[in-house]
Amino acid sequence: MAEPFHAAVTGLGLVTPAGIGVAESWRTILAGRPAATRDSTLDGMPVDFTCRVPGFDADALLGRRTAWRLDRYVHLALVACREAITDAGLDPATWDGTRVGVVMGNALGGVATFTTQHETMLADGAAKVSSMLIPMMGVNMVAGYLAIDCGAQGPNLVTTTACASGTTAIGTARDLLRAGRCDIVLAGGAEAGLSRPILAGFARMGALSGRVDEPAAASRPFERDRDGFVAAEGAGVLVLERHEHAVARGARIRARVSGYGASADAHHATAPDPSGTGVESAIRSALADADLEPSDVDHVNAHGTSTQLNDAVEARVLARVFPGLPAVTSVKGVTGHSLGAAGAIEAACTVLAIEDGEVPPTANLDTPDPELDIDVVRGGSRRLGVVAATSNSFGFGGQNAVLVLTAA
Amino acid sequence: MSTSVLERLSGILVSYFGVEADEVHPDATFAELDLDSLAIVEFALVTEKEFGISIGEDEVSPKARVRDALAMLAAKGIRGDG
Repeated sequence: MAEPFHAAVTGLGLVTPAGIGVAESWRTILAGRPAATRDSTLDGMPVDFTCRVPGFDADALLGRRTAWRLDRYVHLALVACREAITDAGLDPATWDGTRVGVVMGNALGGVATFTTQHETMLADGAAKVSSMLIPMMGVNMVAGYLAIDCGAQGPNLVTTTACASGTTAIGTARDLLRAGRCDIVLAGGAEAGLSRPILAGFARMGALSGRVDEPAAASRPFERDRDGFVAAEGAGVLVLERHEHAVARGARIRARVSGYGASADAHHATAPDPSGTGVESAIRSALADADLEPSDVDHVNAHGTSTQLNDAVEARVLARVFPGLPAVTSVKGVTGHSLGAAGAIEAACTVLAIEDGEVPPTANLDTPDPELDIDVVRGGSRRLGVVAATSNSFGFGGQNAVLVLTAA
Repeated sequence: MSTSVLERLSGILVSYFGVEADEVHPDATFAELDLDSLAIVEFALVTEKEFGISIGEDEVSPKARVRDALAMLAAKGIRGDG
């Protein structure tokens, strides 16, 4: 077997419902404080709560001159990306931009922009539609705008695998580094899809928690009384580098992305295959890519959406693949489910758990589902030396993506 | 040339497009204010709404100066206290 390829993680940026910035987000996630609250933009809707990024003011953070031409999902990504670049100690004024790629995950694009412009067209006619509609709403545009912002002239793309998009982006970015196409890739995910029609659609699917009287208790992954996910927004960006490149410039290597596995259920549009065959195959191929055995894995950052089906299938597969019972957590109890951003936010959390030797708790896990035979961290964070961890994401369409992260 | 129309135009450029107030003067081109070919279409839309008029696609361009926009507005009857 070929030597595993370790992509160095040298920078992190987070904009999440748990806070703006890595430090604030991680503090809230470690404390297990749920971010879900009532959402006044959803007044009159059957499900009227979400996890928004609190106090996010794009005009203040980016300047009105930049912010007016971008959808919120790009706002979130830009702030996270700038934090990650600074954290990595990189200076876009001096790097060789042709060797810097951008791979971002996104599921829905600029839906708030589309919704507003559609209403304008119906009310006032086609001539009143904004010239910015297309560049604001395209799912690809987030990677383009990040490149414009920092002068990254290498390969540039967006991966769209629904709720796995951010994980797919990081796996794809590592492949670009392994192929020698880039020295640095800015990789992550961004989503801001909390518009009324989108929430209505999720509600009609029966995917959302209906716990309207108690939003903070609504996202409860792996809990006996879980009833659906809480829709969220956010962005996460990781600076990935070829190991030699990171070492040559004296960068701090925070952790490594050492394996990636992907698969398709080929089963149903939105329901996971109850056998978990596709999920298991993605986990096993990520482990093989990292040249690790299941017994090497100390920690699993689960997809753990808080839906009945996802959590049951995921837990059964984890019990099957990892008889050694690694410490499982789902940060979605705090952050909710930010769709295309979730995988990137959770990969960043996995890096932080490895660095700090501390696994965050799964919020709201009062009574673990007795059917699920896994060790989920609850009640408080757990001190744990983490050498190897997986970060799992499973999207609608049966699209599965799994990363293996290891200590530097 | 009317100061109040310039002030209203400046208000649009500052509050909507994030231009600095001291950048807005009659000789500035829209391109210098970061209004490219996409943004200038948006500018026309916002200006139409502000003044209750209709602006054709060929009546604004990134190369035009603020004074050209004032002249265009004057020709549509938007003057001093308009």
